[in-house]
Amino acid sequence: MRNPENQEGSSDSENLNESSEFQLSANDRHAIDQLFEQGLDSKNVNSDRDRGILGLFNLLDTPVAAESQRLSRIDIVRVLASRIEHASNTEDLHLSVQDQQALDEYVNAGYLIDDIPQAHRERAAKCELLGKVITDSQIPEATSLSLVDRTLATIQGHIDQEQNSMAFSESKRGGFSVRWSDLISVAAMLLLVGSIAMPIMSGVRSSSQKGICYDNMHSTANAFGLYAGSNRDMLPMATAGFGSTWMDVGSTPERSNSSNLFTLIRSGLAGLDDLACPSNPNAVTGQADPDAWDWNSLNEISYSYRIMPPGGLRATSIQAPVRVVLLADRSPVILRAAKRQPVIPEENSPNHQHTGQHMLMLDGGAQWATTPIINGQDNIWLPRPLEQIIHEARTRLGIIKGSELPGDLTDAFVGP
Amino acid sequence: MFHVVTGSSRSKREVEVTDWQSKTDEEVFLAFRADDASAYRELIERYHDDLLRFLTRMVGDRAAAEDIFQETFLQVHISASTFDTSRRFRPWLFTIAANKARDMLRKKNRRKTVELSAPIRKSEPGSSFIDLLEVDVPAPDEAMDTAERDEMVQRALNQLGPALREVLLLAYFQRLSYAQIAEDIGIPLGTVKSRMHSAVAAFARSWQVVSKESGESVPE
Repeated sequence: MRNPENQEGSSDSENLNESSEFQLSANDRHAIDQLFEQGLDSKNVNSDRDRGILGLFNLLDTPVAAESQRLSRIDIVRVLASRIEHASNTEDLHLSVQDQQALDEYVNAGYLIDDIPQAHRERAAKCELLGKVITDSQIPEATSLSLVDRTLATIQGHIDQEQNSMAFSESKRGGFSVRWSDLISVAAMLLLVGSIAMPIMSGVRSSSQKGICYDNMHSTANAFGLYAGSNRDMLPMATAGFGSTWMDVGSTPERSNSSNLFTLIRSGLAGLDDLACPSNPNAVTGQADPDAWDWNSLNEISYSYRIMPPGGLRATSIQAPVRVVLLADRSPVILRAAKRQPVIPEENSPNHQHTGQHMLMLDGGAQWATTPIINGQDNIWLPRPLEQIIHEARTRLGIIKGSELPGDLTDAFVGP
Repeated sequence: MFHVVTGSSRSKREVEVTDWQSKTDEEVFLAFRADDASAYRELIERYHDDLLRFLTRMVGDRAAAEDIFQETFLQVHISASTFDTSRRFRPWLFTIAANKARDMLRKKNRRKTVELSAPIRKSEPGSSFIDLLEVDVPAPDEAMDTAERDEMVQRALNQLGPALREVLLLAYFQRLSYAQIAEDIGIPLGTVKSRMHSAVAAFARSWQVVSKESGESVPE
């Protein structure tokens, strides 16, 4: 430790702390400053920390006044230093001989108490209890993005950084000079890194987004369960029924099915974040307006909710809840229909690059499916009557049999 | 009937799709190495609680533990090709984590901080021996506020030097033999043994002091 006497010449007490081997914690610095401001009056002492500070001044046996603040802080550091040295010097503690033997036997027995001779079992049990005190702690749930997702994002960031660092850099010799051999080496490295990192990079990013989306499904499942529990098993519903349409997002609850889903947010059971898929660039997150009834527009919506029949739907009224989809990644069919484009019935949700969609079933289970067709025939994007029309049209009109010819000379028609 | 599903649970159907649960850590790791990104998520989720608990105890700070947790898995990602798949994944992971935590503590300890409210051990003669039978340790099922106990344990652990804390945590969290700890940390077997003795003694003493300060009844 440095001699505090040598530091008295310092003109700034903050510099003293910066240069000291030991440093007061921020809480202690704050407490000391407060005590000084209050004239070190013992009446203002109301915590162990304050008592500790006053105790240290007593140890110093030095009258302390506000004007000698800097000197006193030097002394505090000195006393604290000896305190640290004292407190951290734990190797001078020893177990009793019996405890040492019991501990060794406990470790050598693979931490199994039953395998330890009776004579040492009681002491070994103490060793085990101490271990349990240390290891049996609870890990609180993360409040924001889960640690798993942040870890995946860190790895993603590393991969991105690696790619960026492959760019040309200045030569150590000074000026920027590139030789043909450098170019060839860099090109080879870029090719290698590109071929290795790209699939991993896209895989990790997509996996991370899917993971968050999947967690959203579970959070929303909880919200559905809580809502149903307090509303006689009814599923969220903002209105008794629809008027002419249910796809006019952001208008009125009578014209928008998404306002039914928004009921979970309005009732405080889910947040905007829970219903925002990270793959949707227009998804809104954060605090919802307490007066809001719906999302503002269709492109803000990440998940499609089961169309509610007039009067709503009781969760317990369905015989096979495991087969009924309650929520899914947003429907590509609705997006196309809203733009008045032809729909592709078997198209996957755009949420995950059209690779598939998460589905939350009425029994609360979530799953990933690479096709919107469930139970062998039910297309989740379409009502059954429309599915039947499409099916009949396909059956009646058929598909390409291999015998068709162009309509006329100007008809573009290519084959294998 | 609608079943409430917690955030951490997985539905049966999801398990059928991924089916990671039936696979060992080493099998999942191999799948990750074969570019299955979902396998990496599975590995991270598997070790989330255990590793985070270990790191929090080791560095005494949840936020720092989370940082090291991320660094650890990043290191696993970087060093994936060097891992000998005939060996077990868990010890490898914990060794990486312990190394990262040690580095962090080393940096942190260049500037030591201490709380004035921290217990000071008395140094009168005769106090350097601990008899574990005199230490009151709560049984796992004993009613006690979890958050309070966690805070007490951490305060007690913080009184140990990093070297003692590392040996103690590696032993208790990983249930390693003295020889395995010696190999992991790279110190002689005898040193591990004496450090473990000192660590248990120091923790028992700190626990006694912390318990007493928190109003726990500790028979002397």
